[in-house]
Amino acid sequence: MPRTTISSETTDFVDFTVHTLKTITLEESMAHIKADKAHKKGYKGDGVKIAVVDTGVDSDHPLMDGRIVSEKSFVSGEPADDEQGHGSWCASAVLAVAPDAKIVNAKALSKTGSGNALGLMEAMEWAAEEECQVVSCSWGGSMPFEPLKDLVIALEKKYGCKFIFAAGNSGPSERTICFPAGYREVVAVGAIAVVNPAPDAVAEFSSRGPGPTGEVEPDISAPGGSEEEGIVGAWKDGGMKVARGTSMATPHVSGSVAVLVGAGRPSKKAVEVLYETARDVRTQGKDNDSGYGVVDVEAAIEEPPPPTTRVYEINAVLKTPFGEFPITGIAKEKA
Amino acid sequence: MKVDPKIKEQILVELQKKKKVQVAIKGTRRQLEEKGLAVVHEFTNLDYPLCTVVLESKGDIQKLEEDEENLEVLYAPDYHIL
Repeated sequence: MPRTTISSETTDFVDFTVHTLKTITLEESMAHIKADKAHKKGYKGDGVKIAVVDTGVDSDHPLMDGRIVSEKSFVSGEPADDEQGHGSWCASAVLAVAPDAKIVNAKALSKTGSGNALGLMEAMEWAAEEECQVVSCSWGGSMPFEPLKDLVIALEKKYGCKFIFAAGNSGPSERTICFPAGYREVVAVGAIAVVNPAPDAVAEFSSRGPGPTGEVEPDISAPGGSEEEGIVGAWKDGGMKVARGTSMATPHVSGSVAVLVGAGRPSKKAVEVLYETARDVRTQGKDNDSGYGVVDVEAAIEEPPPPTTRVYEINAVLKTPFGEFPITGIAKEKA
Repeated sequence: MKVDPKIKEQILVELQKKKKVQVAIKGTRRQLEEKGLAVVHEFTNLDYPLCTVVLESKGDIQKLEEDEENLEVLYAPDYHIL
C-alpha cells in the first residue's frame, strides 16, 4: 500500500503539516460518492453485516462506535485485534459510508500485512457462514489461485453474499490488475482522487486491465487517494493514518453495497445497480482504467428496482353441475 | 499424487525459510488423513474436495510423490494488503 509516513500511534491526532499530500477526510470521500445524500434519505446500511477480511480491527477505536459484532483470527499466534492498522482503516471507511451497518472482523492477514491464500479462504467461508451480506477484501497479489475464485463463486451462490476485491496498486501500465481481482467473476475496485490532481482522476497507481483473459477490468472505482492526496482513517491502537491505495477504495464500495442492501436490494443486485449508475470518468461505458466509473450511491438508491413477480398459490374447489373439482397450482403475475 | 516440479521447488524454498508450509490438496479430509497427512481444514463449500495440509519436511513431499492415488497438490500463494 503506498502511503504517507505520517501517523499517530496512540491518539486521534495526525500532524497534517509536515507532509505534502493533500489530506482528505472520510467524510469528504464518503460525500464524493454521494453516500451523504443517501444518509439524509435514511439509507445507512441499517442491519447489514459486512465482513472485513484483513489484518484485524481495533474494536476499541472511537470510530468503530461499538459496531463490531463478531471477530475471529485465522492467523496462527495472533489475536483478532489489529496489530498492523490496515484492517482498522478499512473498517472505518466501511462505517463512513454505511454508518448503521455492523462489522464482522475476520482476521487473516498478519501484522506484516500478508497472509496465505488458504487462511484467507477459511476467513471468507467463516464470514459467509456468519451471514455477512458483503465481504470487503483489500488484498491481493500477482499469483492466481483458482480455488479462491471458485470459493467466491460458491459462497456467493450458497449464501447470497458479495465479495469486493481491491484491483491492485501496480498501475498505470495496462494488464497490471492483481489476483483475485483479475478474475472475470470477481468484483475489482480501482482508485480515484477526490480533489487532487482532479476530482475523479484515476490514481496513477491504480492497477489497469484488461484482465488475464482479456476482459475489461477493473469493474468500478471509488476514492482511494492519488499521487497527490491521501485519506485519513482509523489505525491500530486508537490511532489515525493517512493512506492511499485500492485498499482504501474497496471499503467505499463495500459500504455502498451495504447501503443498497439496507434499502432492500439483494447483494448481487446492489452491485449491478452500482455498475449501472456509476459516473463515467473516461470513455462511455466500461474501460480498463476506471471500470464502469465512480460509485454514485445517491443515483443507485434512486434507481427504481425491477418489477417483482407476485406468486399465488391456488387451492380451490370448482363447483359445477357435474360435480366438484379441486384446483391446485401456482400462478405468477408481474406486478 | 501429482506434484508439479515447479510446485515442489516452491514448497522446498518455503520449507527452507519456514518450518511449515501449507499446501492445498484436491482430496477429502478422510482420504488425506488415511495417508498420514496433517489436514488443518477441509473446504466443504466447493464443488470439488479440497483440504489445507501442513508439510513440515522433505519427507512429507516424498510421501506425497510416492502415493499412487491421483490427487493434485496445489501451491497456495501469499497475498498482501494493497
